[in-house]
Amino acid sequence: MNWPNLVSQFFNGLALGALLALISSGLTIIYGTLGVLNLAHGAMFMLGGYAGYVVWTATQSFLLAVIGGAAFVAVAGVVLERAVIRHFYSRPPEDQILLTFGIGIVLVELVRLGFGGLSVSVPPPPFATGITQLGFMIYPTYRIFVMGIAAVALIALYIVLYRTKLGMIVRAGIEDSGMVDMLGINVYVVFMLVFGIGAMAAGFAGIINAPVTAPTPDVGDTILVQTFVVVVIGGIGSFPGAVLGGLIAGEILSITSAFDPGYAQVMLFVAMTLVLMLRPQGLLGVRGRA
Amino acid sequence: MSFLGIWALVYGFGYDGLICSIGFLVGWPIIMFLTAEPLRNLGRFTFADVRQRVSARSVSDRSAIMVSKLITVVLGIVAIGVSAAAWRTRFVMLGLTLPQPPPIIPIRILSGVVRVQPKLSPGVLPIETLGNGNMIDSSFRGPPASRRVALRSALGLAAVAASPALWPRIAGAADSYPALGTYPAGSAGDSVFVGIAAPRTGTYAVPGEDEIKGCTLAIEHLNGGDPLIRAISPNTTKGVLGKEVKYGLADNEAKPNTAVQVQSRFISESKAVMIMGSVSSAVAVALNKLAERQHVIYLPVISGSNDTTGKDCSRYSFRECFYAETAANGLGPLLIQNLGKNKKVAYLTPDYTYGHTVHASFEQVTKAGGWTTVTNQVCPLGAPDYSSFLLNIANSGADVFININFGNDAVQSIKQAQQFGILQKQTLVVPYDTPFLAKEVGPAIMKGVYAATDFWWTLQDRFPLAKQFVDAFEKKYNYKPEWGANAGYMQVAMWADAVERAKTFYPPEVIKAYEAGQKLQSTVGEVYFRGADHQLVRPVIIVRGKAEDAMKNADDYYDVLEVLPGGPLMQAPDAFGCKLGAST
Repeated sequence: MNWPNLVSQFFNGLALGALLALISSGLTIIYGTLGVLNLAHGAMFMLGGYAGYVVWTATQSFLLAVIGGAAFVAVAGVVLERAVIRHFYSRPPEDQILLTFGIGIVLVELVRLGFGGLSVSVPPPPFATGITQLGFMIYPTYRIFVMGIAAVALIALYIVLYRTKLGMIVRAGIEDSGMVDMLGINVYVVFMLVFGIGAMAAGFAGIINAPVTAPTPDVGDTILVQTFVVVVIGGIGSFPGAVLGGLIAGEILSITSAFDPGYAQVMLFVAMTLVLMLRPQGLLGVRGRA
Repeated sequence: MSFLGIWALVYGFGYDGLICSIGFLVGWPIIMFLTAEPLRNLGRFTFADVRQRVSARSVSDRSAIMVSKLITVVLGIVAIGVSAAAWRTRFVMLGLTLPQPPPIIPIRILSGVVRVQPKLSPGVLPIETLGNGNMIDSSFRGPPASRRVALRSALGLAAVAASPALWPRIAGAADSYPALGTYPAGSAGDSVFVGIAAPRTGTYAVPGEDEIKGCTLAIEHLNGGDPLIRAISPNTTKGVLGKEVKYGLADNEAKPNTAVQVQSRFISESKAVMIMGSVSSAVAVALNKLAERQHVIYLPVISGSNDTTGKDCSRYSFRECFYAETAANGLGPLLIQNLGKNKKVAYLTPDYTYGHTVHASFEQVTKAGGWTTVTNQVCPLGAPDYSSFLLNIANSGADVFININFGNDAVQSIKQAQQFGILQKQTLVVPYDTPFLAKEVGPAIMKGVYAATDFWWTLQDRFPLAKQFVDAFEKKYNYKPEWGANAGYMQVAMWADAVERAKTFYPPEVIKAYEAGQKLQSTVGEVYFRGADHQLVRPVIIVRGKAEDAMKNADDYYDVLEVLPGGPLMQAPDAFGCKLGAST
């Protein structure tokens, strides 16, 4: 075991974790507020990458690609919620799961139809290309940039959730949506916004991750599984839990692979199992909620 | 049950069976979400006792309970049998000796159940579903549905005793051969059915799609009597033995259990006379076993593992493409000659039979040049991010980076290696070239990279049949075929040739025709099947990536350096433990 490599992997775990945290926070606030387990979340991530790719080919601007990609997915999320998902709020969870799973398949296959199965390339912005010397290691500049962006996005999400009226309603909705409804707040408008914001978080992550993992129609599938693990570890419906869970998952994947990469995925599920045994509501989850 | 199912898969396919556990891990949370809530207050131990407490209202309900109890017990015994057998092999591998088990629940009975059940209840089939929850299936629905399922399963079990499959000769035979597999039912009409399954989603979707196009073009050519297919299969006029060839397509998701399910359906419902398709060797190996069990010819298309015609070879399976050992023996000496001796090598290896055998063969061959492995990074299939593996490789001090990944995994890991600055310091080698790799990562990265492949379109300058194939393919699909398409096309054409020479679809005769080692013309010159392990003796193509300004057109990514004759590159037929089973 050499220490520089371990430190490098620790750092890499933070970068991975920040991205997982961003995607998972979208999933967790949707589930917490709406009570819908959104299995189309991975497709949203994929959609963000492709929407960003379209904007990027049209404008050659990475900034516009990020804005365009995230905005498109937010709109797509709102449209989906209005058109389909809201009809399923009072249906049993099995129906919701099948519905969102189906939406995910439809989106993936539509993209495959339009763009083909080959991966598409979005290069990193010019100021973030190349490699940075960090003293103890070298690291791709863009990945450091991703960490920064993900952190900023998470802080923005935190401010929205904890410092605005909308955020207060959302958090109240997570605690008891029936009560929010009774207080005269139109909870369905909030639901729509939350779904849009949650989808946007995934879409945003999709486009900023595009220069790292070139988007393919299936890119969301493996991400979705890891995202679920993160949410379970952190606590379903808990935003801080998603951030903590994301970082833990990133570190587990990275540090395990410093010793034996074959066990990285296994350890992730071992961690999830341990959390489920010792603290079934998740690290920062509240028992009996959601 | 799921855990026992995984044990069964490990028993059946070796540790490749573990790849199925990924599907299990993904499926489990969903099953949990679906079943936990309706079941939470019911039952104490099994679903049979659920029914007893909830709905024992009438006589027919009680009989349903009896049947479901019976099924629970039978499934339990079957599962215990399999897992006991699995445990036994584990113990033997650990060097422990166990007494011979009494021969009461031999695995043969199990495969009997599997073979027979589909005849009565298509849709509830093979051994793999044992692990995935026939029990759950019938447990949470209302009583009428559960009764139907119960009765259907009971009939399936009853069929073990009464099925015609146990007396194959009673079934009327069209000619002098006895009934076997889908013969003669599959070839009784004026058309025959071929089941094609390749990955159309997931990390191997791109080569899978290419492969399907090659297979379907060949079938089209067969039915039309195209000159190209008649050059490969000289006895062909139109169709195969005068019968039109129809086909079904399915997505096998590059997962062994999905592949076995869809192909079992092609066999049981459409009476397929031949099944084909693979990108993952784990799939190829699983279907090798299915083919032998069901007595239906199986043709893997892309499969790079030594095991496919090595330790997991099958009497019913024939491989066209190059594989780990021939790739290593072809590319290895060239690498040592061009890159120098005593190099330090980092491997990035996908964690299943294909990756492990390619790694082992290359490590063995490059030893001659004093090459040593400094790190072997084993990564899961379909990983979205390779940063942690690549960091280890960047820190390993290697001179050469051999990336064994295939499909989208190869594309992503090479692009990410570029971001980590690995490709500036280490020479990239692609031991088993994935279709469309150069197109996806671009000539800037692929320039000067050595790779071994099965077919490249510029071989049309050397082989007239390659030119015919590339032209016909491009005319239909508007792009240059990659090697998946070529392998698919050749497999169909060579199968047609074997059947024409056998003059019957009776599988043992077709196998004999294959094993005769008949020399055939192909898109890469003369080839023939080696009878002892069913591997095609065919050249390995060594290519090197071109710089962008040296490319003559948009698809001109590679220089073909060598077309190495296959024979000298191959191991002795039994070196990897190939023992072909019986053909009947």
